[in-house]
Amino acid sequence: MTERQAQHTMMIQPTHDERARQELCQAMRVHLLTDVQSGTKSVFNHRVHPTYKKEHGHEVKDRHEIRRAMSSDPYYRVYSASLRSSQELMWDSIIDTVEHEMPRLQTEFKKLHNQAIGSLTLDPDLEIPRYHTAADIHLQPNGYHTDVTENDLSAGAIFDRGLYMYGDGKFGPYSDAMGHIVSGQIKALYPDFSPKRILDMGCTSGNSTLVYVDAFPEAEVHAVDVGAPVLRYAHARAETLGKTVHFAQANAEHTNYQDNSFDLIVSHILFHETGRTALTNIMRECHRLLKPGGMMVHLDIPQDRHCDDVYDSFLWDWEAYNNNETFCVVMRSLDYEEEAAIAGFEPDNISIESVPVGWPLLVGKKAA
Amino acid sequence: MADADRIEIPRSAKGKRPQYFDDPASDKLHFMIMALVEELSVTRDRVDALERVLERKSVSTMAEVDHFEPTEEDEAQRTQRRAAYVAKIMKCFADEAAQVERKDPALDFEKVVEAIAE
Repeated sequence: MTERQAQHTMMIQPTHDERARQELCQAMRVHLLTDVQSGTKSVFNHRVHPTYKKEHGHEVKDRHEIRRAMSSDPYYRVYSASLRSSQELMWDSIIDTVEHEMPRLQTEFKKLHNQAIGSLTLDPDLEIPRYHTAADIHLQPNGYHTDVTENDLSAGAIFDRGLYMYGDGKFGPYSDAMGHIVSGQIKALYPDFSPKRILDMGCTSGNSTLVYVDAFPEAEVHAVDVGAPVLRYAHARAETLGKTVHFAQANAEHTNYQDNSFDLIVSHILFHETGRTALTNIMRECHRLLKPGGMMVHLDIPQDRHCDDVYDSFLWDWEAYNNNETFCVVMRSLDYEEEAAIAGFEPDNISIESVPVGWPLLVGKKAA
Repeated sequence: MADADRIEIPRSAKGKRPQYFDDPASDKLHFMIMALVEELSVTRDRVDALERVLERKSVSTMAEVDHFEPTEEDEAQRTQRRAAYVAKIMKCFADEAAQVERKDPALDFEKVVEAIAE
C-alpha cells in the first residue's frame, strides 16, 4: 500500500466528506489509468487500427495519427471524458478544504515567517508569462499565480494536496520523489561534485526543493517560481519542516540573480509547463547564472524519441490536449541537446541521462 | 468560522473544455454521472465511518465522524472497497475491451430472433 501523505502544520485538514471525495477521485484516476487505459490499447489494435489501415492503405505513422484515429472511437471518448472529469472533480474536492482551512494556514504562515530560518522575497510587479495566464495548467482553477485574498496561500495548499493525489502517492509522502531522483543521479554521476549554491527553478510548493537541503548540507538552497501564493505556501512548508530555503518570486527566463552565482541549477517537470521561446530563455538564463564548471540538470516527462512504443508516446500527449499542459506536445519533439547548445553550453558538455523511471535528464555543464 | 468570512476560490479552470461527444448535452450528462458517482461514494464512506465509530464506542456524534481517523487497517479496507466500487461503475470499459479482444462478431438481432424462433 502507498504511504499516506505526510502531515505537518501547513497540510490541509479535510473533513470526513471532503477526504472521502478526494480519495474517490484518486481511486477513479487509478482505475482509469490502469485497467481502462490498457483497454484503449486493445481498442486501438483490434478495432481502430484495422479500420485505419483499410481506409488509408497504410499503418499509422506517428502519435498524431493515432490521436486523430482514436478521437472518434466511442471507448476512447468516454475514457478521455472520464479522466478529464475526474481531474476537475479532484481540484474541486481539494478547494472545499482549502477554503475553510485558509484562516488557520494564514495564521501559521505569519508565525513561521516571523521566526524564519530561510527567506521569502516577493515581486508584486513581476509580469506573469502568457503560458500561465492563457489557460490554467493541469486544470488547477486560478493557476499558480493568482491571489484570491491578502497573503494568499491557496494555490500552494491546493497544489501540494493535488500533486499527492495526481501521483496516487507514488511521489512519496512528501511528494518529493523527483528531487530524490535528480539529486541521486547527480551524486551517482558526479560523486566529487559539491555545490555551494543551488537554484531550483519552478519550485511550486517546494516539495523537491527541500531534498537538496539534506542532499547537499554545505549548500545554500534557493528556489524561484512565478506564483506568489505557491511561494508563500512553499516558504511556510519549508519552515515548519525545518529546512532552510530562500524562495523568490521570479520568472526562470530572467531572474534577478547575478552572473556566475550558482554551482547547480535544477528543475523538476518545469519545461512542459512553459513555452517554445521560454525554454530557450530558461537554458540561456541557466548558462548566465552558472559559475564556470557549474551544472544545470533538468528532469521532464519522456519525449517522443524515448518511447519504445508509438502508442505509449500517444498516451503521453493526452495531458496536452485534455489537461491544459499545452506545450508538452511540442516539447516532446524538441532536441534538448540542440537547445542547450544554442543557450551557450558546449556540445561535449551536454548529455541526456536516463533516470530510474526512464525519464530523460538533461545535464549541461558550463565550461570551466 | 462563519461562512460569510470564507474566502472563495474559483472552481473553473481557465481554458476551453474539449467536447468529447457529438452532442454537447452528452458531455454534461457524463459529468453529472461522474459527480454522482463521487457523491455516492462519499455517502458510502460516511456510513462506513459511522458504523466504525459506533463499533469503537457506543456513543457517536456528528463531530466524531467529521474527525474520524481511520487506522491503517481501516484505511486498507476502505481503499479496497472504493477500488472495487470504481471498477464496478466503470465495468462498461472492461466489457467492451474484452469484446474487442475476443473479436465478438456484431450481432444481427433480426437474424438471432429468427434463428431462435425457428
